[in-house]
Amino acid sequence: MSDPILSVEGLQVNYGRVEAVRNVSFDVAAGALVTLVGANGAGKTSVLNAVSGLIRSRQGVIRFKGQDITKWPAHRLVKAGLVQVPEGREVLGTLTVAENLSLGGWHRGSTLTKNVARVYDRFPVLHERRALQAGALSGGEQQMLAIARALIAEPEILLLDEPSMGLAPKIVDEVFAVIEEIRLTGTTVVLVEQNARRALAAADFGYVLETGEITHSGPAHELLVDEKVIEAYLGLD
Amino acid sequence: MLLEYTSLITLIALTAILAFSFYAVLIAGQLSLAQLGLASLAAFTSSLVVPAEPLFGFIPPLAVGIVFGMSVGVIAAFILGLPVIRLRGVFLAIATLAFGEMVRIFLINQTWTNGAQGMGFPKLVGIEIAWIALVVVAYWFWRLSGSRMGRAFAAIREDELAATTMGIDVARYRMASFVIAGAVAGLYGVLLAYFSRFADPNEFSFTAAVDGLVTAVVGGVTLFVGPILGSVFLSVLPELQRVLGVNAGWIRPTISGVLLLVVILFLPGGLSGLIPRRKSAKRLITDPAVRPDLPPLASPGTELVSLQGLGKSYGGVHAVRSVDLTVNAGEILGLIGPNGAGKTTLVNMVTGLTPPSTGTGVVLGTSLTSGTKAHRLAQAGIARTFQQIKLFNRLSALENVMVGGYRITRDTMLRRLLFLPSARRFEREAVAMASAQLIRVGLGDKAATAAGDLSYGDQRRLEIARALASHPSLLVLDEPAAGMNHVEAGLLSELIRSLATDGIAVLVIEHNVRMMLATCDRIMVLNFGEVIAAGKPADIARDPNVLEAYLGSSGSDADADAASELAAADLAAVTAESPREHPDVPDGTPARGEAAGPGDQANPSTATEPEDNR
Repeated sequence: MSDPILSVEGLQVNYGRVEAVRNVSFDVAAGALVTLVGANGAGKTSVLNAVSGLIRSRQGVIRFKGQDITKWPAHRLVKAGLVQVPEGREVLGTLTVAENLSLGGWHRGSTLTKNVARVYDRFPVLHERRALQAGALSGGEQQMLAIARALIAEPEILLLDEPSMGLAPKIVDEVFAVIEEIRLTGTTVVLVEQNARRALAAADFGYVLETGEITHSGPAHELLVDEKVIEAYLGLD
Repeated sequence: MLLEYTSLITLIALTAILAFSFYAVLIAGQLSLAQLGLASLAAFTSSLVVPAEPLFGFIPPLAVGIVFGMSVGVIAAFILGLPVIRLRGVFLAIATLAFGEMVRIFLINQTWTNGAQGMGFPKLVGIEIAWIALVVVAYWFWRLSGSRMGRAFAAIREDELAATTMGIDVARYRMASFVIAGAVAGLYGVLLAYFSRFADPNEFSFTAAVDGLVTAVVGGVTLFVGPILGSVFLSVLPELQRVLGVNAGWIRPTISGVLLLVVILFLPGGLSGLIPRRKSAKRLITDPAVRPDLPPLASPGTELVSLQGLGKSYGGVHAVRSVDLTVNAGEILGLIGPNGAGKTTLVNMVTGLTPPSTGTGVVLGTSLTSGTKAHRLAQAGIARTFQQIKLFNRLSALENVMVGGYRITRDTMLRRLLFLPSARRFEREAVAMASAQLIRVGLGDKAATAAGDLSYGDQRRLEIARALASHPSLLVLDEPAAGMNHVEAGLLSELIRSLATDGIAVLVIEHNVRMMLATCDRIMVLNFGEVIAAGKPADIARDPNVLEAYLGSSGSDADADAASELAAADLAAVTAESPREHPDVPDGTPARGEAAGPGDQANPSTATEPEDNR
């Protein structure tokens, strides 16, 4: 395996005195789809937010393409190619779909038009609704918009936080189809999901977080049949 | 030596009283700049009634002035509040600022006030009276902070819509905070005039209002000592510099300004944020003997909700069309359907947040009309959670649940003022009832954590605990399992079943189909605002319309079979099985839904489902 595109070593995140994440280390190979699964409050979102620069880590080193990015602010990381789709979608509700998309290309002035056109090709429904306020879209459409907005920033690595949350089963299928497609284009994907079974089925490699620490890791298809993981997170068949 | 500072110390007390007037509205989340206008109205009009000699020979003139001034403050605040109380944030600030200016200009143009030359007042207020007044005001706010009224103010500050659905009459409480602030402003105006022996309408200007606001904010609005700390800080700084020999001129105000910035930047809770809060207020009371007996719920099978042809349209778009629905006590009714199908609109109508456009509905004996108030329905016994979590983020988990208990607790403000033993007993009861709900949802160990610091799933659970705290007959859950994994969803399912066993009717919206099939007694499926299927879970899972519109590739015979098994199986076994969401996935091939979703994508109502925004 070549050098990982993203490597996290000994990450610690604190909220006040509470340790949300302790000594978390993991690597993400270029082009891979890696998933972090675990219970609520296990620290999955905190890990993702620390990587994307939304919160400061207390300890640890985060490297992106070999560079130490531990202290980089989020906007600089986006420019460098590390883009996050946040939990709860966070579309800009009072702006139109088209405005949301062009803001996604904040750092991509020259290629913006081309990128927007490409995204409209992939998500025709967004083109249809380009003049509508993003807040008026349905939940599924908002999630597609959030992903599309991230894609316009031309990510080399895309961090997805709970993309299936609050979506109808049929739309969840669609979201996972989009994720599959994204990784087929060569973009590395880090996926945080409550829907652990679904996430592991889609991923190459998985990490299981438990109260802020990684307790299991391995190829995703092995975790899917790992009895301990099933018991704790997947439920019985 | 002390004499030299008498004036300063008196002014500290008066400024603190002014700051309390701002504090009174800030704790309810309102920004009013009318305080100085109210104060000057009170000060100048009091000169018209304050007698030279004691009234009836024994009531001191100042007492007459204070009572009169506070009454003027209350009445003026109430009259001003009638039109402006609906305004929020910056709009309220502008309207109240305009009021202050109106009063100033009015008073300047009156002959009896001597206009801009100012008016003389007898010296009736000294250092003792100023501090006694401050102590009384501070005492009021101290007793307010732990009362049900205080919690209602905090709830309104954090989230008005959520507060409404706890049964809190938001308009009434906003007005109450306005009127309390008016009384304190009136007191300040009278004390200031009779202390400085002179008043000029221009002293009660916009700048003075900003000073008062800054004092309140610097001191902090999370603890009743905030205004006092703010006043001491801002009054003593220049004096301290003088004593230390810092030159007058621009240096003193600059140093004061920099320190002010430091406080505002680094102490978000103000100076009072530095004071460690007492822990006892956050401690659980688990002794069941403390909990009072609650009235019994309706017996199972009683019809609680009955809707006939209920519909909602926005402009020409129908979010919900003609839905018939009944919910009985002790029953769990599931509502599923694509995103944007109108589920949230429907429950918003049931909970009184959205008036229906067509049809009739009766919920807990109250009919749904355009005049139905959400807080009234909450008082009647509806509690709900929100798709987009609406907790009181800066309150602790326990405090959130205690606000939820608004409906079944008694107001303790007056009892607390008088230090009656019953006040303490009622507060302990409120804590005990809240503790029980917190423990029931598994958050007993997080009682003291601020709601905003909880993880997503814990926030969902806390919302349920808060809803349960009102002892509801009907509980509406909007996507309670979002953000929970399969094991957690299984526990939630167990909790919902146990609530139904207690006799609560549960109306639940959720996308976790496995959980819904295992949990609900009946399921109704909405698409395009219409009911496309309704019935037992096992039948729903097999219904071809539902498969087409909602389940997509995830709906399969496996689901239907599973549902039949679940329906047949023992309840405990069901929940222990921890249902999972996508039975077709484990073979490792994620289901592709490429062509899926036309129903949702083309749904006209998607553009209008307002979710929880109002």
